[in-house]
Amino acid sequence: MRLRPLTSRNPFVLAGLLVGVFASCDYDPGHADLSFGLSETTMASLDDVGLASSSPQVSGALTTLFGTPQDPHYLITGDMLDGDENPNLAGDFELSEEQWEAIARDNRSRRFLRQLDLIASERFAEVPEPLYAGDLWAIWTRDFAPLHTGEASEDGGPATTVDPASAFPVDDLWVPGLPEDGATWAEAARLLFVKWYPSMRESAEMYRAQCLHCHGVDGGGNGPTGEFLEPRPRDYRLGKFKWIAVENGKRPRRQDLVNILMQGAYTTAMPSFARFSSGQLHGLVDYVRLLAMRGETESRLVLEMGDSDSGDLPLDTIQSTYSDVWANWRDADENYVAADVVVPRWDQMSVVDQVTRGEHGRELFMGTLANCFSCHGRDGRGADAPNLPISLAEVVDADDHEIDPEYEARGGYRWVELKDANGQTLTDAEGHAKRDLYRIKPDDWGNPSMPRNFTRSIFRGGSRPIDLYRRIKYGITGTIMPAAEAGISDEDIWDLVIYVKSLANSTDLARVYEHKRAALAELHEAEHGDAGHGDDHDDDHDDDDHSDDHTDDDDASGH
Amino acid sequence: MLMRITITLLMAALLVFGIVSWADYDFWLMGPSPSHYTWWWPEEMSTLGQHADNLFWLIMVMVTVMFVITMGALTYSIWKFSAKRQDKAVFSHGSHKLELLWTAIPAALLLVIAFSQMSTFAAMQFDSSMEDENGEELPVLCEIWASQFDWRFRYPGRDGRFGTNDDFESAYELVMPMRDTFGDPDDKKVVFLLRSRDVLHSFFVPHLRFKRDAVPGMTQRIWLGVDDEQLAEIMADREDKSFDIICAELCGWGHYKMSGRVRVLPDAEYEKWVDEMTALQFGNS
Repeated sequence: MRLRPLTSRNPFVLAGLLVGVFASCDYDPGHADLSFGLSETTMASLDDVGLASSSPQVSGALTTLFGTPQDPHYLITGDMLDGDENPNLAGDFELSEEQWEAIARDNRSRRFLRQLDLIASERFAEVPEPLYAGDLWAIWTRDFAPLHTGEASEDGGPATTVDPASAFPVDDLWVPGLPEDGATWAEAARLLFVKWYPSMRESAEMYRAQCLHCHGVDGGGNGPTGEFLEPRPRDYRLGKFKWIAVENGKRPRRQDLVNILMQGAYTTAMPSFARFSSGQLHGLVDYVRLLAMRGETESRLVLEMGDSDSGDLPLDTIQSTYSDVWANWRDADENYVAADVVVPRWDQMSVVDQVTRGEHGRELFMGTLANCFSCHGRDGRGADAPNLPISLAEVVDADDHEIDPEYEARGGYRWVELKDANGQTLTDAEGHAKRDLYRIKPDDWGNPSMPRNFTRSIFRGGSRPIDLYRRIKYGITGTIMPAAEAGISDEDIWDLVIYVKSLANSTDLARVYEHKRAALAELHEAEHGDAGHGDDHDDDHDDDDHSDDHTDDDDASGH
Repeated sequence: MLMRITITLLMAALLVFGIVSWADYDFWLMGPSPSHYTWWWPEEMSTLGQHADNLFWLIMVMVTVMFVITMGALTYSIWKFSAKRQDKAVFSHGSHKLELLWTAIPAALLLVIAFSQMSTFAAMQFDSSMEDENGEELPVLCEIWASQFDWRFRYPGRDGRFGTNDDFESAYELVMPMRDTFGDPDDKKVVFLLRSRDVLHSFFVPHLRFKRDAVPGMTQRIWLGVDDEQLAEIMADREDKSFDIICAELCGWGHYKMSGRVRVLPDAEYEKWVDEMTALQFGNS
């Protein structure tokens, strides 16, 4: 047989390629070979104190405390927990009745309905294994199914009705609402369903499928796609989250993280995940909390290690660090702020009031007490402003070889031309403009600070008045946005919110569009009135009209 | 021979792979399966849905017939004029009559398609279809914003004007009333503005048989109309009260996760929902 050349037309090469492609696809994220690692900062600081060889101690401690990506869990220590809350037991925490109801409602509409329908209608042999609800399946195969094996298939008829309440210990099933007597399979299925909640392991799998590619295996914001995103994905390991309803620097509530999953962080790569059930979202939040706690524990352990002379990690140090970290997260709900604040209904406020209060907000914005303008600029355009806001950056030496090229690539440095008192650009002897290089201050994650441009009408942490109130009053954790000074009253903050919202509204695209259409209609009317048939000329006037109209709109944009 | 067999087998494998992945959504582990998954179009519930489906079937039948005829001719020719049966090539200048025939038939078919879709297209697309009986523009219910990678719906609030302080946003879920504009149950129209923040997206609601590209820098008025009888029929055997929104234009790496839902409410319930959202907008939760 003649040997064929090794080209893509060779069937063996083709077959090999295709087999290779098929074989290299791993559809089951549960089998991915992943392990938690130590962060670069950790390794660097261990190196600094000459303890690089002790890094296995840290990772070993972390594995004991938090498990692996395949089997994540918290180590239960005696004095760690208040009461009988067990973070490893799915659903065993402080979810409110409403949250449980939401979980049940979502589950009913989206998932497992078929399995539970079959259980309820007692067609047990047909119950298929669900892809996600591993726990549900485990309970079913362990407790329900053995009661029916053989019964349904012998004569093909329906299975004998077994009283589920008497057939198995109810407590094992996490269905405490199950009636003691007279329970039917339908009721059992319903309650099982209501109480379904993903286990930590299932949530970790979901994290791997949905979040890992940006946020990374250990939540460092360093997943494979993360480096292509601007802004970068959140690094959980600092334990800091921006869009929270607790005081600056405090750990987020579970609900804060659920809110971000529901709403997304608008105009970033973080989309809304509302397509998942409440149960799944709460499960994801549990796993994100675990990653954040793990990261925090890691950095604290490294500090402890550096402090000790021997470079050893005594057991009680590990334990106390772990308890400290836990305590912060456990108490997060108690730090909930602004729950009793009354939001002014300025949709019902008179125009005069709105304008007066907005004007007061503007004065505060431009004043040195609130000092908003120093980062957000006098026009409220923040990092997008043509002139760099004054306190956002500091001058660096352009010839300095320590300029970080990566930070530069991400817009971390800006050239600013020097001007004299009259606003004229200063030039050197050769006629080139004199300019300084500024380095924009980084936030806690090392990203260049980008104060919000209010005129774009985009607020990542939510655009409701209360969201803006919280951002102003308590600042944004981990960024250069500080909490409001003590001298600024609540009333002042609301005035600021009104002013900021008016900046956003002034350039509102829909409003510009409305004006444009109104102007076009007027033009159309006028031409029809004059010539009787002016249709053909409409399009020609389109562009001129738009620009005129835009200025009109800006004038009319007050309150 | 070996080549042919291998390629045939590979193509067959690809076909099976394609069908399996199409049929089994969970195969890709991309989140929950759509609640009422079907192999074909889902039930339609739009006032124009029947027209859209009729056009779909018209073209489907035409294309299928043409496909069978041309593929049959091709298969026959391959068999009939293979080297085994006909070892000598024949030179031909072609046939003028045949040329005319296979130009005229497709042209006629195209004309049939063109004429049969005109009224539906006009009803879907023209600005005049979004006016009331006095020629006044119908009010806009909400703005549909597409962005990488989610859908966001901005409602003007109680005052009906955008860019005021009572605007509220809904991520992921588009809530719309039935809105009986003309007092005619077959003529329901709710108008939206469709726009994009960044790149091309496409707003696709399979149940409403509606698909339109969202183009950055462009504001499009679009309308959706829900046939309440159809809706009631669909809702009768369905726990899930909302319908899929899909991005139908590859918009970037996260295109696959760009989904949303439409929920259609009777007018009174919709008003209640607006009240709830307004309360939430000025709430402190």
